Amino acid sequence: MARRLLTALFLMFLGSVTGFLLINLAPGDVTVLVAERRSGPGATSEDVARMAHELGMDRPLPVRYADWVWHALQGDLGASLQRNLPITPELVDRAGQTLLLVSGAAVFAGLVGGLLGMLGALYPDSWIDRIGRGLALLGASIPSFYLAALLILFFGLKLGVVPTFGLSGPASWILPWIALGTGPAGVFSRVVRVGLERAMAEPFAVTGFSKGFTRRQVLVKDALPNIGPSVLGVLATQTGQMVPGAVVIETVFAWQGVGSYFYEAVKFRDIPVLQSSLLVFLLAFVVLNTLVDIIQARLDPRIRRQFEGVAT
Amino acid sequence: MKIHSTTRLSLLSLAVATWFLAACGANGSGGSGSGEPDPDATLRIAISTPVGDNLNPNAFDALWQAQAMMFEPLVRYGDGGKTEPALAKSWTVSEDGLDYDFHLRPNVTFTDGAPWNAEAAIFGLKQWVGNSRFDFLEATEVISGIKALDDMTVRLTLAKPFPGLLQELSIVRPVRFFSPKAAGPNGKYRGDPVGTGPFILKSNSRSKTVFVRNPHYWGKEPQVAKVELNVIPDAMGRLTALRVGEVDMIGGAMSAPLSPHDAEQLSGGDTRVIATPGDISLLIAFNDDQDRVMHDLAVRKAVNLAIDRVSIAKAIYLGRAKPIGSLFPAAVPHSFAKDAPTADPDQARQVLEDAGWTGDHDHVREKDGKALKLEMLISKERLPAAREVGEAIQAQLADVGIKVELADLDHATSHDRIPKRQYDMALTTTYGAPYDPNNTLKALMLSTVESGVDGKIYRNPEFDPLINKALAAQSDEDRKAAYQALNQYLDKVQGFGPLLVQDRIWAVGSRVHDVRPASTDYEFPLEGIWIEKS
Amino acid sequence: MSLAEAESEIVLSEGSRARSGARITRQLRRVPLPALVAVGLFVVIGVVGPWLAPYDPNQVDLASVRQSFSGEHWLGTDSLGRDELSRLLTAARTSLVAIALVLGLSILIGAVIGVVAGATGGIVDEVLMRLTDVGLSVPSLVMALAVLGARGPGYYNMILALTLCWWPAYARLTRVAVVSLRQQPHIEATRLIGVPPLTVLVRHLLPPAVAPTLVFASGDAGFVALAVATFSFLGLGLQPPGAEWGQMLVDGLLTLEQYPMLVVLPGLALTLTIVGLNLLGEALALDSLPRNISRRTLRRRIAKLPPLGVGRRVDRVDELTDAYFGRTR
Repeated sequence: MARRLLTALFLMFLGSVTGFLLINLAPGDVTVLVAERRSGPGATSEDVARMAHELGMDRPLPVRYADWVWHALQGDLGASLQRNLPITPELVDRAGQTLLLVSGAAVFAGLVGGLLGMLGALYPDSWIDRIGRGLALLGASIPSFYLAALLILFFGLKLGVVPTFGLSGPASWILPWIALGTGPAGVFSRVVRVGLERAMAEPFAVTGFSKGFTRRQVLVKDALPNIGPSVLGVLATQTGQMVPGAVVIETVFAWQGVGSYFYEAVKFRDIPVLQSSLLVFLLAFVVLNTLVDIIQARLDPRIRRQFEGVAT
Repeated sequence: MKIHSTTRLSLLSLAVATWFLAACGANGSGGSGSGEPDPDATLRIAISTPVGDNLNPNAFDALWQAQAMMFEPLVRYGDGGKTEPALAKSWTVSEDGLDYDFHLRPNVTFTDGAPWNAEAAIFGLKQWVGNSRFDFLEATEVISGIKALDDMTVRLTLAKPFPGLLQELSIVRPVRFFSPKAAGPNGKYRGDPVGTGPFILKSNSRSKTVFVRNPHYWGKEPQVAKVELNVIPDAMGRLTALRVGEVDMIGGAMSAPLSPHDAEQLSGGDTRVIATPGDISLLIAFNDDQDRVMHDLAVRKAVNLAIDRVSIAKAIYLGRAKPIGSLFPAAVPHSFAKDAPTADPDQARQVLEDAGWTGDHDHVREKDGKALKLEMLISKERLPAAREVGEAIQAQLADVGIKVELADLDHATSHDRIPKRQYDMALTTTYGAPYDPNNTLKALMLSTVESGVDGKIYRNPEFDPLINKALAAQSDEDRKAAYQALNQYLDKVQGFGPLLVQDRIWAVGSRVHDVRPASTDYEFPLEGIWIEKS
Repeated sequence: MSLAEAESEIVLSEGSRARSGARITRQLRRVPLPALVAVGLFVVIGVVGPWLAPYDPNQVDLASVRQSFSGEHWLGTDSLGRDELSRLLTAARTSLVAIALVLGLSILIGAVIGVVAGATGGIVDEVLMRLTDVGLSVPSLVMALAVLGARGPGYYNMILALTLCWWPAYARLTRVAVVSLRQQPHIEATRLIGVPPLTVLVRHLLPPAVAPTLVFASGDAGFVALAVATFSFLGLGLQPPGAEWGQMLVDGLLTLEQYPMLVVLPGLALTLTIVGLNLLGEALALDSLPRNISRRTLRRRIAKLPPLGVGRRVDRVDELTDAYFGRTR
């Protein structure tokens, strides 16, 4: 467990460093942009040099990175180059929106995917199972931005029942949740479907049948708890994958989350913002994955034992 | 200057014939309102990006329009480029054109109570005069002396005559005034946006900025109690918001451009579309440096002949743009505007043929083994229709045997490539009112001035004397002659590709009345606007 | 199938040797018809689409923009009067070429690095795998921007950027396969009877190590198609006037309400292609891999694994990287 966490932290570090390097190596000198932004058009080379010095951009890359990490550890993520505003409060604010988006999408994926998977397992090879599998495949395949456009078109523009953009109360959350959650829902329903099917063939299920319980009773009472921890883990992993996916959805629905922050930062070469939003992405994974481990260890005695036996 | 996209110039008073495109355009008709102005009304305007935290009138961070609501200049840019009094009630210019005496408007106070007087004026001027950061303004260099003649009179002394001075003093930044009381110990802006303007900032966040009416405003008091600027980044979102009545007004080239398609969609509903001729020219900058294919005059000529401006204006701008054949449209002073040339692909082919660029039909022409390939920079970030315009031009030039490669650059990459002149053509715009013609000429054409990402429309040291002459011309007659010479030269060398001028488009809800587009795109059309009681 | 699942499958599979070409052919026969039809159609259109197109897909006609369906233009025209059907057909090639190149190059690079790392072991292995970790840890968007920034925007630069994001997964798969193969008796035997190491590598290790990556690739193809479209969506893809489904969709978004078909049609083409590719990938993987292996099983199996090197635990880390790697969703 501790080792896993260490590896994850190491990877976070790698990702962060590489992101930092790549954006610095990409052409498009951010200091010129900042100089023009802050002091009017046609920045001279002296303006740029002065700006570079003011921003500390004239220091070697490792120093700049270390400096950023040092301050970040103290909760200060620096200031946006583009808008000259402190990053930490804005990032917290935006992380809230992304959290709303991703958690809503995760709940959607869990409910819809779980329901489809369970129905499929309950009535294998029935029409409901077939439809469920078809939907799962479609859901897992349709690009999120296409789905978003279709949702906006039908529910927003044609029917006018929900807002098509922005964050203005619960009604405006629905379309982004569906757009982001459909892919994971497709994957999740297959996991549930297959997991349940397999569990239903295990000895404990057979025992249940022999005691005279119905398929539904066995599925709900025995099979579901049995696969619960593992499918929850899959859902958490899927949720982790939704965080970068938020870049697209936040752009389409004009949400001001971390994803759009990241995207804007990339376009402007706003290095501190980029670093900071990367950090959120990376943290999200570490947290989610640790959470999975904990949930599973608590819920599933087999895994708990296994951890005790294997992990250092 | 950071004046991407469009400004619009002053409309000639003639052009003020605003055409209302919507069904129930006339004031007071339609809607459920009473027809009575509501003095407590809130006007909600949609903007695409947050106003910004730093409203410092000497800085370039915030939305122009928001700054212009609070901070005022000495003189104002009126319709057609006429200079109108603002914080200066009147002014006199000495015979030699070197002394400008401004008689300040009496009984004006900043919203924190500080009086507007010579002291405040000098305090404001000293924020930027002589500061090399602002050297895109001629005034920063030309003004050699500032002094108070009395408590309400300020004299600006110039090192050399500069007829464009008044126009430069009318722009939004960095020349407007904030309260000396709002300065920090270092004598600079401290963070409180206190001006003399018709509105006072009440709150400012990333999603919404609220202004309230300045009850002590010296001029005509605003007819709305509050103005809310709501940030809606998405164009479709703004459209919907207007339709469902979440905002009252959308549009404005510099704040949240309304595309012709969207305007088309809005006309006929419960909303009104107001379009007036604009003043920002959409152009193709040519890079005719020695090592470029465009160094060949024939190529530049052929490009201009092959482009079908009328079709582009019609198909892509749905007719809400006017093709042009010169640097500036007629609305810009001294523009010597010309009508757009008619597309003539045959002649374009002939010109290329004569110049030795040969090739079969359907093929890229060649000369001495060199293919007639041009790279054209477009930026969708800067001009929403850039890609469509680029693709249309690409197809029209392909038709005469010129291959165009389009590169849609993000902001940072443009910053890298444009100053390095790594392109053949670039889609760009003039600055529009109140900057034109002088600022466009100076920043975007003079080879000695750095213009950063805005690049150059045309750059040739040979051309500099003509620009300098036009900028320095004293009498109206001289100026006219100088601008004529300049335009003739540009025409002769085919220095750039004029395309069109897009209309200035606003859309408002049915309760909003008397929307008179401001004289420039850098200000909201707030003067006289009122909302009827519901 | 996630990378982690694929890896553990390879390791655990008793008879990796058997997973050869013949087996893949057998698997192909079990592919459901709809998948074959969709993918087949996609490939055929990708190859011959430009010749099927009734018009030049880049022929601008400003006099007839945004027309709806008609006998002249079956699927109407776009905002510049170009024939929509012709553009849709041509765009198939854009996606096909991108998928083929990205996956082909990734498998190739992955095979080389994976085999070298797996067969050599030691410090070389360590260095190469760290490199792979880095590759996996950079978000594709950042990678793409760096590449496109450095080399200018363009189709092949986008493919290069995608390949840079894609190969590490294949290197990992190949390496895991090689490592597990090396411990198998028949490989041990080749060494004992004195077969030259290079021959062992090329004849006995490479083919069975690459075969499973092909299976993985079939399921991965949909993601590449999606990534290409997503890059276009974010304005980083194919430069005009080339036709690409994602780009066509973005262009259409501006007039979604008035001309929804300009969004619906390219999206439909894209979705059908990805559905087909996913079905195909699933069918290929089905035979050797229980669909959606449960975490419990995975964990139990991994517990039995031989150590793969210093500090390496396959499951969690890979999920992290795989997820972070962010195949766009």
